[in-house]
Amino acid sequence: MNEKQKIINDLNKIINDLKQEIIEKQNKLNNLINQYQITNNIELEDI
Amino acid sequence: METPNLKISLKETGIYSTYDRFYATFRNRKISTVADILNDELMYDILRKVSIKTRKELECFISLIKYKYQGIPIVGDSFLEHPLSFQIKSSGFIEIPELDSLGFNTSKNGRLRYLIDYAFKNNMINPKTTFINCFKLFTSDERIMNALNSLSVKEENTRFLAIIQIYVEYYEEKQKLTGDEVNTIRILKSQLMGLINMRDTLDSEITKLETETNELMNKGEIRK
Repeated sequence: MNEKQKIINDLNKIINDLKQEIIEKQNKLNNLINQYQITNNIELEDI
Repeated sequence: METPNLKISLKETGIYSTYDRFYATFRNRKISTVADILNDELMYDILRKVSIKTRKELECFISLIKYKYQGIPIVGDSFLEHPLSFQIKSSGFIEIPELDSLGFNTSKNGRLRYLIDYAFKNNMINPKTTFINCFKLFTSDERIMNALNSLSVKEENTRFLAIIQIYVEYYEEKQKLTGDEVNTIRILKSQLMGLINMRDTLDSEITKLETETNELMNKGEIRK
């Protein structure tokens, strides 16, 4: 495997790991928003 | 990627319609351009104030816009290679496990359910067919187009097809990243920067929301 191909593989791995990290953070944020809406008794804008 | 015009109206993106769950919120807040969607602060403020179902649809909409206008990868793209795994209930209802996070109309009469039912009954797909192969079929098969066009709300048909088309283009672009190595490295670096920015913005919003929620809970305890 040449040097450039190695860089591509490494970048792809970092990108995939980052996507997974973002999905986990999005889930965390969604749970926090649920809690925030209850704590603040937020009147939802879409209902 | 050419620098796109971010002042383009949402209607011109082809993936926005009056049938979106977040349509009324956008109308009330006068949100009308791609630039508005790329404004993280504004979008996080809306996400805080809508229901879970709307939030899921809006998150998906934001990710499609960020891909189309900024080239940022769709973080939940792994579903494209997953099998549809649908089940047709005795009532005729089609259950698709991942449907809620894909940005489509998730109602009983949504286009995706309708077309999957049509394609299955005509032996064009089965539960093992992947989402991407299903989407490729939906954008290329004349019988599917006729089935879609037989549905009465043209605006929703157009939007559905535009979303499917973005996913197909996205997948094909991803497959193409195997040719010119120097260009591939340049694109991947740019994607990485976009994702890092997305992660950092999320971190900041999480911290902000945690602080606000804790403060409120503490105030509640003091009152007790």
